[in-house]
This record gives sequence, structure tokens and C-alpha cells, in this order.
Amino acid sequence: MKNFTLSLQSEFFKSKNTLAFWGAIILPVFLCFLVFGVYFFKADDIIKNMKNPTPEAFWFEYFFIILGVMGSLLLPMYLIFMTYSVNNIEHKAETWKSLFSLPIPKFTVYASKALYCLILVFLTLLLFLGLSIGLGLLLGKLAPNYHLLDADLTKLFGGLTKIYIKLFLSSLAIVAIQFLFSLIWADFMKPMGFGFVALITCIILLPWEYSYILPYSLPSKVLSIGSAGKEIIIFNKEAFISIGYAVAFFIFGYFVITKRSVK
Amino acid sequence: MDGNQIIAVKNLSFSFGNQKVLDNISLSVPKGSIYGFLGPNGSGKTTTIKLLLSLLKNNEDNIRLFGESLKGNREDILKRIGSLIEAPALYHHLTGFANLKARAIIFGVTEERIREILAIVGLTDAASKKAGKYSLGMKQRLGIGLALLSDPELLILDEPTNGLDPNGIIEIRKLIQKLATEFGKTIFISSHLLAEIERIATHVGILYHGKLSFEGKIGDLQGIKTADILIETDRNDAAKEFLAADYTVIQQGNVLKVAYQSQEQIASIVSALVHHKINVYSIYKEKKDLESLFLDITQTA
Repeated sequence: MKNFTLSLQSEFFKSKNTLAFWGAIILPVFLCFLVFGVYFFKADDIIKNMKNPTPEAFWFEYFFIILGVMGSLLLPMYLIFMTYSVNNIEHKAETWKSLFSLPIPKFTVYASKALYCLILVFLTLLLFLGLSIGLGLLLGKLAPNYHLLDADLTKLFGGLTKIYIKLFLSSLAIVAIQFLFSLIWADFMKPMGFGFVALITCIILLPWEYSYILPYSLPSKVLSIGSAGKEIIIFNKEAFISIGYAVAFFIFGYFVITKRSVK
Repeated sequence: MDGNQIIAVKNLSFSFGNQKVLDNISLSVPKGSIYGFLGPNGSGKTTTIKLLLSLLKNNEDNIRLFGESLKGNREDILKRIGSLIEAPALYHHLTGFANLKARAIIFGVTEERIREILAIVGLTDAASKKAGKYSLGMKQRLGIGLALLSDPELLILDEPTNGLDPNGIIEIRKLIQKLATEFGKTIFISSHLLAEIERIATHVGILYHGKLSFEGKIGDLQGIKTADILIETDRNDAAKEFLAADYTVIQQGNVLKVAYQSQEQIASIVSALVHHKINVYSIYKEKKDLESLFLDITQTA
């Protein structure tokens, strides 16, 4: 366990100045502040254009502008890029052979990297959640026309938290698949190309009745459930499918790595 | 098994698919030695090193390090080894110090030890410079620094002077000698440069086409014919006939080749030729290149 913690710490240390790490922070900060700015400066227009301008409706729209842009496109794209970037540090520096000749189990090297990817996803979604709520509350103070603070905040924030938890769970499948491919393929085009083609294909296939089995369509599925106004169940079919993919691909990836000779 | 052997390999073979890379090699590296693992490019040196570090899958139980089998004791053994394989593996976006720190975190090594390492490899002044901006020589030294971090008993260095300019080669050579003499490390160093290994090694193993052609002390290698005398005269046929009484003479174009034995031998050849009224245009000693040495060793083996 000590090896694992130290290995994870080392992952943070070496990638703290990379785009993979900063992307996890910049992406939510940029998008949330952008939406906040639009809502702050264009309050009158937004209120005028709404059919039913209740405080709940404002919150709902405000949350889903962020979620819509992020969940269906930016998040999967970030996952594809981030997993590539985390492994590319080692491909670029040709450090796989020195990592695997360290006196720690190969599993520790592999698992700490995989967990590091999951931590970055968690961090980025946590920031999205925190900033959505924090900037929303600030908007309530600065733009009283919305009457945002009059809404049932506990219920709203509870629902939003559930959606972000579901987004995290739905990301696991993509992270595990992309993690494996970016581990195997050193060049930029293969994992990124595969990821983007798979993402676009899965988005096109969203209306298909069995699209819940497609790993790259799972984040979009979360949004369609969240926006339908139904009760949000965290561990539903999609969540289990995503977890299933993640477990299978992470285990498969480990065997691929241990059986493969380090060239 | 001799307890003094840091590396003991017995009948090791390895193939990449159908291509046999190592053919039944046995190595014996004594404690405290600088073992030069010599061989031309493609002879299987890096493959051997990767097998020693358990980077390549070996189904046999024929590698022992520190008296223990590598199979089943991988982590305990790797704790006692520092390695630099091929080009130094560095994170170019991190400084020299940060490269060491990223590894030091895993080993639980202090920053003081990092500074010590930087001083040993002569990179104290360049510690805050990004590794991507280092010269090749500096990168190699940082690579050796990384290998030294955990204070290992055995250092395995794969072609550490590859691609370096003469100054870089001298720096690495001095560093390796310092590590052996001042810090008591056993060093296993691979190279395709015979002259380089002759300068620093105490023991030598020569790998040729995946087979170990020679293993022994450096002095034993000197015993093997390592140079030729090349002679040009005005009457090569007569000179050849005359010299053939004492030596094996090979004629190559206008040049006669005789195996070098000593400086006195050159002097006696010159005086004998002159005595027989054969004009000597040139006579010089040509050091054998590695390829010729291998041929000699394989022919005599």
C-alpha cells in the first residue's frame, strides 16, 4: 500500500505541469465562468426569453447549459485527451522500461496511473459541481432579478450532485478503454483517432434503443435522464454497464502490460 | 554457487519469435568488478540486460543475482540494482532536480540525497535547468544519477557513452571509475567500443551473434592477439617468403600483415628486412577493431 501511495504521489509530481492536469482545472473554471458571465451580463434578455421564468427554471437552465456543453462533448473529449496525455509522458520520455524495472510490483505502476486518471476526472467533475453551485449562488446575489435564492436549493443541489456522480460513473468506461489504448499505442493518432471516431459514432447512435451498451454514449445518456425531470437513480443500468466496462478493461489492460515485454 | 558472484547466468537463451537472439550464454560477474559486456550492435547485449532486469519474459530459472533466483524474487533483487538502459529515460518537461525527485518519491529518498547525487554526477549547477535542455552527456549523467538514487549495490549501464563526444566519454568514464572505487559499486556496463571497455573494465564478456565468445579478466583479453603489423616494401613477394619462416603472413594488396607480438618484434622485422636488402616503405601497428577481435576469438574458440 505504501508503494502504491508513493507511486501515485510521483504521478502527481511529474504531471503537475502538464496539460492533462491543468486541463482538469482550466476546463471547468473556463466554462463555468463563461456561463456565469453570460447570465450576469445578459440577465434581462434571458428573463425575457423564458416562457416560465421561475427560480427553479433559471437554475435548471443555468445548470444544463454547462452540463449540455460539457457532458456530451467536452467531457468525453477531455477523457480521451487526458488518458493519452497521462501515458504519453512515459512514451515520450521512454520511461516505461525504467518504471517497470523499479523494485515495485508492475501492478502498482499500472494501478497508480489508472487511479491518477480517475482522480483527474473526479477533480474536474467536482470543480464543475462546486463552481456551478458557487457561481449560481453568487449570481443569485448579484442578479436578484432571477430570484435564484428563492428556489428549493437543497433539492436542486442534491439533484445536481447526483447527476455529476452519474457523470463520473459513466466516464469510467471511456477512461478504462482509452487508458488501455493509450498505454499500448505510443503515437498520438491511434488512441485519439479511435476515441474521437468512437465518440462520434456513439453520439450518432444515441437514438438506438440499445445505445446504453455503447461506452462512449453513456455520458450523453446521463444528461437525457437528468433533463427529463424524472427521479435520478445513481446506480441504474447505464452506471452498471459503465462500471462493468471499466473493470473489464482495467483488468484486461493489466494482463496486456504484464504479459508484454518492455521493448 | 560462488557467493562472490553478483550476477550468475547459466545457459540463457532467448528468442524474439523465430529469431534467436541469445544462444546459451553464461555470465559470471564478481562483486566489486567493473564488468565490460562487449559486443557489436545487435549482438544481444540490451536483450541480456532486459532479461537481467526482468523486463523481458524469461520462462527459465537461469538468472541469479546476489545469489538469489530472479524468478520469484524480482522486487527484492531490483531493490539492489540501479539501471540505465539505452538512452536515458528522462521527463524533458521537468528540471534535473525534479526528474530525480519524481523517482525519489517512490524510493522514499530525501532531497538531501538528491543533492548528493547531483554532486556525484556533476550536475549541481544544472539542477534547475529543464532536462530537455541538457546536452547528451548531461542526460547520460542524470540517467546514471537516477540509477544511483536508491544507493544500489549493482549498477547496470547499457551503452552509457553512446553518441557522446570525446569530453562526454571522458566524463562518464571518470564517473564510472569513481563509482567503483569510491562508492564500491559493482558495475555491469555494455558497450560496442573495445577501447572504451579496455580502459575501465576489470572483467570482460564478449557477446557475438548471441553467443558468449569470451569471458574473463581484462588481462586475459590482452593475451589474445589484438593488433597486426602492416608492412609495405619494394619487394613484397620476397619479404613474404622471408617472414613466413617465423610468422604467418597474409598479403592484402600491397600490404603484408603479421600478427603483432611486441615492439621488439617490429624492430627485428625492420632490421631483418633491411639486412636482406628489402626496402621498407612503411611499417605500422594497426589495432584490431572489435569485429576482427571477435573473428579471432570465434576462430580460436
